[in-house]
Amino acid sequence: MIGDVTQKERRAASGWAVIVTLFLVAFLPPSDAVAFDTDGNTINSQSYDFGPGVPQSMKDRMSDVAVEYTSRAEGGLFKTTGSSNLVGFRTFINAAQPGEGTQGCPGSNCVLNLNWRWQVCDQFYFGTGSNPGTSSSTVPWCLPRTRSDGWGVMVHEAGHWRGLNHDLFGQCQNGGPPSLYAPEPTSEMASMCYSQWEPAIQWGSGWAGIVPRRTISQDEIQGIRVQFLGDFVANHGFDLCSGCSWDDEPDYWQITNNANSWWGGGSNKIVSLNNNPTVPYPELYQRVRGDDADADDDGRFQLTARVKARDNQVNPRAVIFIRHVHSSATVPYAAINHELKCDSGTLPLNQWKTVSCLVDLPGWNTVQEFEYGVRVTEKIDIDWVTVADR
Amino acid sequence: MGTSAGLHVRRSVLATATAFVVVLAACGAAEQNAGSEVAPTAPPTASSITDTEVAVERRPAEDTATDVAASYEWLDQDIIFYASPMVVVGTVREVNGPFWNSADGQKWSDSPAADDIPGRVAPGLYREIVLDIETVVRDDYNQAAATIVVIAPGGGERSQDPTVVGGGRFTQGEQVVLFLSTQVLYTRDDMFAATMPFWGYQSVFHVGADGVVVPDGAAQSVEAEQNLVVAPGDPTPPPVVRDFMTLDEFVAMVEGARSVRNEQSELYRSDPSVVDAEIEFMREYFETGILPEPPASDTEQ
Repeated sequence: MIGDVTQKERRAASGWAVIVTLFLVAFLPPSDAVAFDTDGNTINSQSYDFGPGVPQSMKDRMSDVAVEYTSRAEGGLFKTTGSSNLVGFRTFINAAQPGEGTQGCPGSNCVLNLNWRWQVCDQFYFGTGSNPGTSSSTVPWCLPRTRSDGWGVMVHEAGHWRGLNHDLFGQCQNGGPPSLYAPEPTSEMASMCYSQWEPAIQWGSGWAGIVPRRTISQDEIQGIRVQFLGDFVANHGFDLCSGCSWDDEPDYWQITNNANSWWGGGSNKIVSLNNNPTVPYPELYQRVRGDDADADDDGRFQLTARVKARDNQVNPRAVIFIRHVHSSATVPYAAINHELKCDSGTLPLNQWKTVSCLVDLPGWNTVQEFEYGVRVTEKIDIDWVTVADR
Repeated sequence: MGTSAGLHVRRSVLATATAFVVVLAACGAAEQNAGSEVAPTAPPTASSITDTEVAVERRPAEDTATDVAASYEWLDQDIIFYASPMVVVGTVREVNGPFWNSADGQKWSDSPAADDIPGRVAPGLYREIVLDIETVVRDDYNQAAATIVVIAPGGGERSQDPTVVGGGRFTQGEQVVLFLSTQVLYTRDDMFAATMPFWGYQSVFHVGADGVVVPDGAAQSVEAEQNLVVAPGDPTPPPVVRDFMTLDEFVAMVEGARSVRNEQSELYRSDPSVVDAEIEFMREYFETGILPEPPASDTEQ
């Protein structure tokens, strides 16, 4: 309660000092962020502006974000040199909203905003540690609560800059209980889909909320590369797919180069797909144009795969996926979603099993291009994957 | 926007948006008649007066597309059950909008400007939900009435807003359970006290035809699960959590949420006067660009 004396004592001790500190840096000139690789060499000198009121700790974390995307994704957080993009604060209409970012930042005039009200109320943590502590503010309408991880929020919003969205149905970020299509605990949509059913990063003891991740996943990197480089990076160890084109018709399966040692012959068959422990997540995938799988444009089609687990060292399971849906929506990037998938659960050993996933994309009947396939844990054979309109 | 010019504009806008406040206040007038049998009325159309004294009619957004994606932070459900000052069961009579948070309800831009004061209001969509209340489960501050208007952030499922369901999904004619509180509706031109979901979509529950209360978004997950085809003998994927209750059970659960004092949840409780303080604080801040001095603490000498 606001009128609680104990809280006021706590706020009086430290809260106003935070606000004062905030405004000591409020009117400093905009700064550039320069990312460095681990050797300290400049690898990205592209600049962006900080809005007023941005504390130095947030600027430092934004540099960390730039390093993350520069070193792990597509060569830079921003698309053009000398771009002007603002990182700062705005007041949002939704009080439950920690941040926002321009979806698919074109390289300039983009925003990455965090919630100003939260900042006023000391509800962001921009440190590098693991304990964000509790907000403390003497502003009378501010409520004390566990701080949100500002670093993770910025990684998330920067993902929007690079065109990544939340999951297809909005089951994370925007609503819903645990979904079959929610990311696994070792989330591939780690930074873009932090949600209530992803294991919480516990700060000390007890419940402390769900916090976004500070790093981007391999799959998120892949999503960025697909959009900005036009190539495709299969998960965890495959080389780039050469000769792939968005215009490929679904007449054949694309198998990543250097996967030939696992290629069992035949156009749609792989035997002993992966016995190489350094390549834990092979996948069989195909790029199609939407009409081929969803000829009636109702957004419904079925993916089916035939798989067999050969080892149980890693809890053998298959994941049927569809990813990177492209749409002709007015907002082009808003329709670029990351991945929708069905998980087989643990597979029995040495038995061929058919796993299937009926994809239903209500309202997404303008799907034009997507990829689908099956990804497995190691030592699982994939016999085939098919798609059929429903 | 330069500082002085920006403040001039803001003062002007603040001064001329008064009518908008009045109309919104009228819109919420029914809420002041707690417990009385107020005849349901259609929500008045909000409007504002510009500098040239030309009335600006608010109308649903003609363009709901935006290239800005918003995030959402999950809050422990038990905190919502505990801390929300108003919990009602009602039927959605109307879903109006979506409107952009501007006087005319239309899209406006927020060009990045490093020299602006921090925290400027960002464009956002909202809907107006007209709710006929059937049961008042909780009403800490006597705000409930026969009919209330709820401001739900987000453009709704038929908009092109990436944050379509930030404030929940609503369908005309459906029965819902809402956890509400008075919050500040920030618009380009001014700010107003409004009844809003306590914490986004997590504050919205739908009552199905079978009388079961389903969290907002759960129906979509259940449907996705039903569409899943698993071959005979194959392992069944982890099920969607279906820890749903009947309406009576749900109401009883909410009524008992405060039976034991919860210190963490207490931190999230606030009364409507806090909203007035926030508006006063933020108005002064946007006017001057300087954070107001907080009032002296009780513990300060």
